[in-house]
Amino acid sequence: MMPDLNFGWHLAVLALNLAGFALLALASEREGSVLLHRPVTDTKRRLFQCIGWLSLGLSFALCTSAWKPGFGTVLWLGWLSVAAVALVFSIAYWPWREKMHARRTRSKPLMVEASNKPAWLTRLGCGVLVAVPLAFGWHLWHAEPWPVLRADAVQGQIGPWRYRLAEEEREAPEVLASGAAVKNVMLQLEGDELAVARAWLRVQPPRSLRTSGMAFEGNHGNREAMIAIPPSATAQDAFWLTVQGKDGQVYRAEIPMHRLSPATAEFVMAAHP
Amino acid sequence: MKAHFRQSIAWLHTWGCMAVGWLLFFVFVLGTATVFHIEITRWMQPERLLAAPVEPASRATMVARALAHLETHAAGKTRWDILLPHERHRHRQEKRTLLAVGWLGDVKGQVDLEPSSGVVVPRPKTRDTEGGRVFLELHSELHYLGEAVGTRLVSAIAMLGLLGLLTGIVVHKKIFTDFFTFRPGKGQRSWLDAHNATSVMALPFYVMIIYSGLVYFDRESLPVPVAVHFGGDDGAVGRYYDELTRRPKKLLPVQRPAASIPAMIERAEARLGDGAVGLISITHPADGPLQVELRRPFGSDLPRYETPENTFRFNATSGEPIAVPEYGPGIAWRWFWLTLHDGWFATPWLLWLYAMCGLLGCLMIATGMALWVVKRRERLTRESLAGEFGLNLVARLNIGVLAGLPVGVAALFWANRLLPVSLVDRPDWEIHCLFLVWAWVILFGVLRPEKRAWVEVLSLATLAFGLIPLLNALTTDRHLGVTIPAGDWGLAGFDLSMLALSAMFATLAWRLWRKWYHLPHLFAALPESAR
Repeated sequence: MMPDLNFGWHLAVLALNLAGFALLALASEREGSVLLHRPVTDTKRRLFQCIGWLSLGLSFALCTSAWKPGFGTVLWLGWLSVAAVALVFSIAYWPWREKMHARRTRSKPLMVEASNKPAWLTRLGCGVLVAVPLAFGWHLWHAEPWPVLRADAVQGQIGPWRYRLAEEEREAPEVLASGAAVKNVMLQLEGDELAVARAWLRVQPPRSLRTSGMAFEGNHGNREAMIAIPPSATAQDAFWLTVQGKDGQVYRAEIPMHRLSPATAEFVMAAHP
Repeated sequence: MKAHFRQSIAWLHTWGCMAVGWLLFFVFVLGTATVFHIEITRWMQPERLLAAPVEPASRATMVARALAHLETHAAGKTRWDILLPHERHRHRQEKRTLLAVGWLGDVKGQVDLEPSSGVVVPRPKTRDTEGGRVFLELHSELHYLGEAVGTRLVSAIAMLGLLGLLTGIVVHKKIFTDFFTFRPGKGQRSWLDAHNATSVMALPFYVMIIYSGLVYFDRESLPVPVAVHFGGDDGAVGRYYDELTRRPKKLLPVQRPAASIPAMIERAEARLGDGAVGLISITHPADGPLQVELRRPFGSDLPRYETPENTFRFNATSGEPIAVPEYGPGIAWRWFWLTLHDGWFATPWLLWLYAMCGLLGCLMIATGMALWVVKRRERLTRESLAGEFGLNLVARLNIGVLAGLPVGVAALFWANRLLPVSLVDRPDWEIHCLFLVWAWVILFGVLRPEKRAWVEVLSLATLAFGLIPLLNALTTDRHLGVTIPAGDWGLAGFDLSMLALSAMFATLAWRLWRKWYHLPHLFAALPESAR
């Protein structure tokens, strides 16, 4: 585990790295002569290089001993990069670069740019630039919310939980190849989510726990079930929601068919006029 | 021969990098954001509780509370995890102060508990968002392409990036003499210096991050060995990883250990160090006894795989230690690189260093792309040739891609705050916003005059980032006025970083504006002394 030492240690590493690089910079031919305003003598250069490398070595030793060797190496390299970048840009922009002052007083002509694109292309491009945000805004305005958060979702109380029940699509049941009519329904239970063992839904009242209907898959607000609409269903039949808690208690709620899914009620009426 | 070799390598560097420059920039920008993806996730879920002080409890109490909860709610599961509150849990800020318990089995779950009382601390219902994981996914698989194509594409880009680094080192003749050289205001020379400086200064980091990124997708890049040994069917990859990680073939349901866990913790900490244990796992492999495994918080070791030095297993009934086998050199080496790439072991200062080096990487790529344009343009003006289509295209797209991607990232954060909570597929829409805004800015950069476009897009980036703290204050109650007094530096740090990025773009925009739009006639009216 990497030791979390306070900033003072990091500052020490950074300072040693900066010092090391600064000395190496002074020792380098180009920058050294700029920084010192005179060419560097050989002995001075060797001295700077020696102390510079020593400083870097010292900071490496500090890193590997204060943090463990693996972490220390990674940290040393990181502070090296920061020190190097800081030094390079300070050398470049330091006030003793007199040329910068001379440049600033020179005036430059105002830039006038000619466009060499055909006018129709520019207009088309501008059209796209305007159209895209508008299209996005329109799409967002008309976007469907989560089924259980729709205004027409059924809300109620079942046992110690509040429920929100909604059909996933506001359409008639889908008739599968086997002839069965199925509907996707989504359920959200609010309250002590962890105390819920399972939830089921079916058309017509369940006679026992075993026949409570199709179980909801998923949890935490994303419960979904595909329930079959039996051929014998009529528009007066209701959906029955069953929730069993982890303590074994079973709760039931009745939801009229036309309330949960008017489209299903119509479908069923068409089948049994 | 030597000159010809260097020329060939220079050609390879230029064209290898130009081919993938923009995509590599994308990976680097989003990868840099991934360093702080945990904190970003917290910011993007403002419904979560603030980091509040919690009454500490003794280890024995916490373990007892955790086991009591697990026995009641996770009976019959095949794995129980107890995460003791520890500073170094990298995955969820709440784990630093709260006790967490988790279980795996037919269902998996995790719950936060109050350390002293064992009462469940409910996790507030948060807006539907991917959070910081979006950056993790985008930088490793791009988007809209699917995992299979995306990871292989990113691997290819990374390989070319590595090639670019190596060829760049070869081409940079005076790498040591020019180590500290940066000459501003000299056109192409300055761009070259900037490119060299940003590349050389963090070179070890770039080699590490790109190589380790490639190691992440070794199986995708080199599929033949796995296919030959494990077959090509659907379960082949699963079998490969099972063998690699020594996953037990069958797990039996677990029960409460009979032996004392606090005693095991003490034995482990004699070797690991005081307060080091963060993760307690109880499993029952079919071919062994019920066992308790103690580790430091996940990922805080370098490297992060189990070794006899950092993992302690005990028989849950007798309390006797069970030997932890060593991994072979191949898998050990692989995990070493993955741990370096993720940087989960990093303390906050080192995380910031990772982010700084990532930022330098983005600058390296950006200066390289700009250098190519500048160099070509200077050569054309020198030789009085007309502009080429390819050059103008790259110059225009540079604006939208290099300055526009940050705007896209800011748009992601704006979308997180502004998109309706009840929107279906909300996480996908946040990402769509990133790409839509980015595409819009690219188109904008193509249509506007070039210099004006640079200034305008950079100014847009300034506003896009700078207004985020204000947007935060207007839409949530997790803004700086609340997070700084509460001492929640994870959330406050995000807003402050947005301001810092905004300042960076403001500086760039201002410098460019001054350089290109210096208005002499205004200043000519002033007396000399006032200029």
